[in-house]
Amino acid sequence: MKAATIRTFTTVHTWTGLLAGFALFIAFYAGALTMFHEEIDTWALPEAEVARADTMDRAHLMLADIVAKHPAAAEQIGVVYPADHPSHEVAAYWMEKNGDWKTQALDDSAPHDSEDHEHGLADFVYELHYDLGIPVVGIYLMGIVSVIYGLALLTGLLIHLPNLVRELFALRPGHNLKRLWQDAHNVIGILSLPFHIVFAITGALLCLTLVMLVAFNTVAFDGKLMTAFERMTSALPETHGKGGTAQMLSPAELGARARQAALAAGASTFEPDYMRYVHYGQQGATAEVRGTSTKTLGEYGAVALDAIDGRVLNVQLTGTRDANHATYSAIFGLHFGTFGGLSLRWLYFLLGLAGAFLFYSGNLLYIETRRKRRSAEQPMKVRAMATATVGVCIGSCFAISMTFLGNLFAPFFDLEPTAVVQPVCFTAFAAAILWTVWRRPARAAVDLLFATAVASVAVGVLDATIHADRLMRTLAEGRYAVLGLDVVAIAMGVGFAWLGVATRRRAVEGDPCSVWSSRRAVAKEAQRELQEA
Amino acid sequence: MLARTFAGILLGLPLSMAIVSVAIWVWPHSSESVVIPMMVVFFPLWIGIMAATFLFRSGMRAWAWLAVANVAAFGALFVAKHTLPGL
Repeated sequence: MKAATIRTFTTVHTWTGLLAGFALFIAFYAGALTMFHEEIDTWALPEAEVARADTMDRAHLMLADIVAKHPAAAEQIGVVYPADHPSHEVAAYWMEKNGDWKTQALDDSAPHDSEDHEHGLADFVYELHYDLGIPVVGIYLMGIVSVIYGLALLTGLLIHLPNLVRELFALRPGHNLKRLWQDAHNVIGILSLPFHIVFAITGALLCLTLVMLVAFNTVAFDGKLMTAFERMTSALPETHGKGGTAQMLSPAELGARARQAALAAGASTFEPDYMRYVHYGQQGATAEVRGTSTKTLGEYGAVALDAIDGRVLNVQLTGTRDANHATYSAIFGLHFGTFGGLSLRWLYFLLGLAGAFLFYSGNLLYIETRRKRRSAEQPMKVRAMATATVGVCIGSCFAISMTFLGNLFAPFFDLEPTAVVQPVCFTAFAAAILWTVWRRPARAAVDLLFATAVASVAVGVLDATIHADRLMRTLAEGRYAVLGLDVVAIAMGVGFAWLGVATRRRAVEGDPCSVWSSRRAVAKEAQRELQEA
Repeated sequence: MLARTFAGILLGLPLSMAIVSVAIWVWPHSSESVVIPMMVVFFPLWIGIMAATFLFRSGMRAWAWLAVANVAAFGALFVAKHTLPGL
């Protein structure tokens, strides 16, 4: 490759990194935590009721009641299975005539808009992952960020290509700190490249599917794509309501039959997690049961049944499905890391944190490359980048730890944990940004790292103290989610403290002619000496 | 640099859409059977085109060549739409 080409790609890599890096840092940090969504969910709601045995019978009655009161729901109404998620309330979803999606949970007396529900801690962290907590447009923004991320990956690979093999395992600690950061950035980028390619592509697809379908539908398929997409992703054959009335089989019964059909079709397991009726209560009614299977890349599969006599109409499951269903399911499997067991989730967790480090180190390299080596005062763009990097990146780690603490303390202030997570997170994040601007990045980085360390350790220690009975009970039952979260929180706190110590050392002992030095007097003196010499 | 960037974004987008669409249309037997796998290719293709656009010597050339490629791809899509069964 010509030197000019490499220079061009370096510029593109820098700018795409600048544009997408901050959002990606938050997405990767929150996404790594989301690998343990269920564990966080269990941890966050210590008083959650154990699922009652008659839950699905009550759901059956609720569906009939909803359809009687809201005739539009008969067209299509879905309900989730409780599985063993504590916050997974069993709720029905349907669309009113005006196109609004409504939902009603078992304990609700009336339906409400499916958008305006309060999020628990686990769901909130997940939301930060895919839309940064920005309502409505956040998910599209993250879709665009994914595309920019793809371009950054490709250009980064191309720049590094000439030295890739030679420097693959090079990590050169020593006098030249920039080289150490560069080596670390390159080696993590290359070794986790397959993982990043998967995320850039599936991330863009998951965020922008709707936009993409609308565009392709108009440009290339003359309005036929939408109905075709329905066929390509669901197991339900096209059905027509025949009017009249009919007795529906219950969700529990249909779930059991779907599982039977799935196992007969060769799936290793099949755990129903959502089902929907089409033409509820009428002749010709059908139902689709969606569920997860293990030992497959795409865990989601679906079985379509006759909702009146329970006849199996179609099976779209691992091993028996077509390319569309397989690809669609694989997009989810690859992105959410559900194609393996606990060890795969840990791997995704570590790769997620490594990804966050990749974006952080990219910003550090930007700063290090533009550093004035003989000046105490650094250029504006370097100072701005350092402020933004510390404020946004370390600030988001701090905010997330504070959110866990907020969830823990909410009951003592008579507040619902679900009501406090979002305000606590955004307030902590804003405070971190202001602190960084006020204290300058060199000192703020140290402060925020130590604050995050204290908050994280407190999450583990205080939970184990306040909810000691819960911890003991779950351990006695052989469930390790709560203990695991407490231990990981403490371990991450120790990690942040270690980073804080290293950052402090850099601020005090490092090169004074740097935005990371807190010794401004020494730097000025050094500069004067240099000028005199 | 900026001219090439925007050529890649603005003309690369319809170009990759047209290429993916043509590939779906001309797929033998059943176009519908490959829609989702083909759509997975869309974003990598667009990203590849955006990166490749920087290899043009000038913004002018990038715009011109991508415009020609767009005309060709949409021409092919037009022909495919009028001769093949589609979805």
